[in-house]
Amino acid sequence: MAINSIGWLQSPGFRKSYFTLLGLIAMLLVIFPFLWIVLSSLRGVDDFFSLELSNALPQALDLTSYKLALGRSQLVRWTANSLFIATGTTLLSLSVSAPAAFAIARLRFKGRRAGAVILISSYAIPSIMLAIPVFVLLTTLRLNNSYFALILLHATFTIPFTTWVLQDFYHSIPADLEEAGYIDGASLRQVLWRIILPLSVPGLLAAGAYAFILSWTEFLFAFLLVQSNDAFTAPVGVHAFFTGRNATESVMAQLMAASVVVSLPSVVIFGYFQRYLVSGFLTGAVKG
Amino acid sequence: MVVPAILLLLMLLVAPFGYIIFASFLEKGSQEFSLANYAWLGSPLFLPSFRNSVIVGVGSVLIEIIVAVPLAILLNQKMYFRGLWRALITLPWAVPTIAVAGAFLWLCNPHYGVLNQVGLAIGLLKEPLGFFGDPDIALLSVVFAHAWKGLPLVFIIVFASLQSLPEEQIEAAKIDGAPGFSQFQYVILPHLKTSIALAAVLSGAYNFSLFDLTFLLTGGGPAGLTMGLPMLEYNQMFRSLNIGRAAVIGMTIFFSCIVALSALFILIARDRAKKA
Repeated sequence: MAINSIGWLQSPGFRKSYFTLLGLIAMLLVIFPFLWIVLSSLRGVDDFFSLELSNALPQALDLTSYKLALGRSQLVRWTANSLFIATGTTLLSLSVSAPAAFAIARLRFKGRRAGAVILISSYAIPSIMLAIPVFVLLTTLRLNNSYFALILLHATFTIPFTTWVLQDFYHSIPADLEEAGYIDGASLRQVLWRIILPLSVPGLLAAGAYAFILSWTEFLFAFLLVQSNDAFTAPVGVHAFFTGRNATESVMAQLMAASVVVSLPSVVIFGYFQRYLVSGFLTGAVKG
Repeated sequence: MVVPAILLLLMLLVAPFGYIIFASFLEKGSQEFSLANYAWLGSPLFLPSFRNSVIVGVGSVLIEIIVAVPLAILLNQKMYFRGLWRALITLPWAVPTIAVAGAFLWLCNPHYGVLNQVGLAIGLLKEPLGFFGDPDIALLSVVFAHAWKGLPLVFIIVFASLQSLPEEQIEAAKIDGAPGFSQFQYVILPHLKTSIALAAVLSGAYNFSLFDLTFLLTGGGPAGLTMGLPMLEYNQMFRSLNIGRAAVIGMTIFFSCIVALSALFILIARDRAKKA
C-alpha cells in the first residue's frame, strides 16, 4: 500500500506534468520583463503611477496608451520606415549571400577557404568601432539620411550570418540532384535557377527572417546616420520621442505601448520562424 | 560568386578599419603623426571605463551561464509544450534594445516599479532601490540588463549541446547509482564544457562591445559610473569631437574581443587534440 501511494509520484505521466509546470514557471520568469511591458501597456493611463500593487495588472483592457503613443508621435511612419529598411536589408543580404554560400559549399576554387574565413570573421567586428569611419565617410558623401546607406550598413552584419546559415543549408542538399541536372545537359546557371533555387526556399526564409530581425532591432547606425524626424527608424524614433520628456504617468504608459509596437514585428517573425532560426543559430554557433 | 559578398564587406569593413588606424595617430588639432592617443590609454579617464566594460562583459556572462545551464537541463526533460517553452525563452533575442531598456526602466522605477513594490511588500527591501540611478548598484543593474538580453543565445548554445549528449550516458550513470549531482558533475558538465566556453566568449565579447543598451538605460551615468568603452568612444567622437581618441578606444574594443576569441579557439583546439 505504501509503495503504491508513492508509486504514482514516480510514474512517467506525473514526472512529465511536473516538469511541464517547472518549465512553465522558468519560462515566465525569463520573459517576465517583456511580459510586464505588454501587461503594463494594456492598463491604460489613469493610475499608471500607483503605489498599490493590486493596480499593477490591467483590470480591464484599456488601449489608451496605444492611442496616445500612436497619435502623438510619428510611430506609424517610423514603423513604415523600419519596414522598408529591414526588407531592403533582407533582400540585399540574401541576393549577395546566397550565391556566395552556394559557392563556398559546393564549388572548388582558389581562395575558397580564405573567402569563407573573411566573410565569417567580419561578423566579429564590433559596430561601435565601425561607427566612426562610417559616420565620417557618409557625412562627407552626404549620404546620411539615406536609406540606401543604412541598408548597406545593416547588410555588413547580416551578410556574414546569412552566408553562414545558407552554406550550411546547401551542405544538406544532396549533390546528386545537381549532378542529375548536369548529366541532362544543364549549365551551371540553369542548375542554379531551376534546381538549387527552388530547393533553397526554406533556407532563404530562415536566413531572411534572421536578417530582417537584426536590421529591425538595430539602433546604433540608424541613430547616428538618420537625423530628420520623418526618416527615423522605429527604435530611433521612440528614443527621440521619449528623451527629455518628463516621465509623467501618461508618458511612461505611452513608452510601454511604443515599446510593444516596436517589438511586435521582430517578435512575430521570430515566433513564426524560430524553429528554423534556432537550428540556424545552432549550426552557426556550435560548429563555428 | 563569392566576389560580390567579399567586395561589399571589404568596402564596408576593411576600408573603415584602415581609416581608424590612420585616425588613431592624429592628435586633435594637429596634422602630424603622433602617439599621444595611445599614451592617453593610461589616463584615469580611460581605465575606469575599460574596467566597467570588463565588468559588464564578464558579469553578464556569469549570470547568463548560471541561469542558462540549469534552464537547459530542465528544458531537456520530457515535458508537454517543451517546444513552446523553449521558443518563448529564446524570444527576448528578438526584442529591440529600445524596448529592453523601456522594460528595465519601468520594472526598476524607483517609485512605481514592480520590483521595488514587490520587494517592499514581502519585506525584502526596507526602502525602494534607485537601481539605475543609485551609484552603488547602477553598474550591477546594467550588468543584469545585459544578461537578460544575452541569455537566449547562451541558452540555445548550451541546450543544443545538451541534446547531442547520448541519453545512454545518463542512463548508464543512473544504473551505476550516480545521484543527480554526480550525473551533472561527471557526465553533463564535461560534455557541456566546450559549448559553455563558446557561449561565454561570444556573449561576453558582444556585451563588452555593446553600445545601445547602456546608452539607453543610463547614458553612462550616474556620474560616469556605468560608462563603458563603447559609451566613452561615443562621447569622445560626438561630444568632444576627438576622432583620434575615439579611434583608439574602438581599436581597444576590437583587439580585446580578438584576444578573447583567439583564447577560445586555442582552448577548443587543445581540447580536441587531447581527445584525439
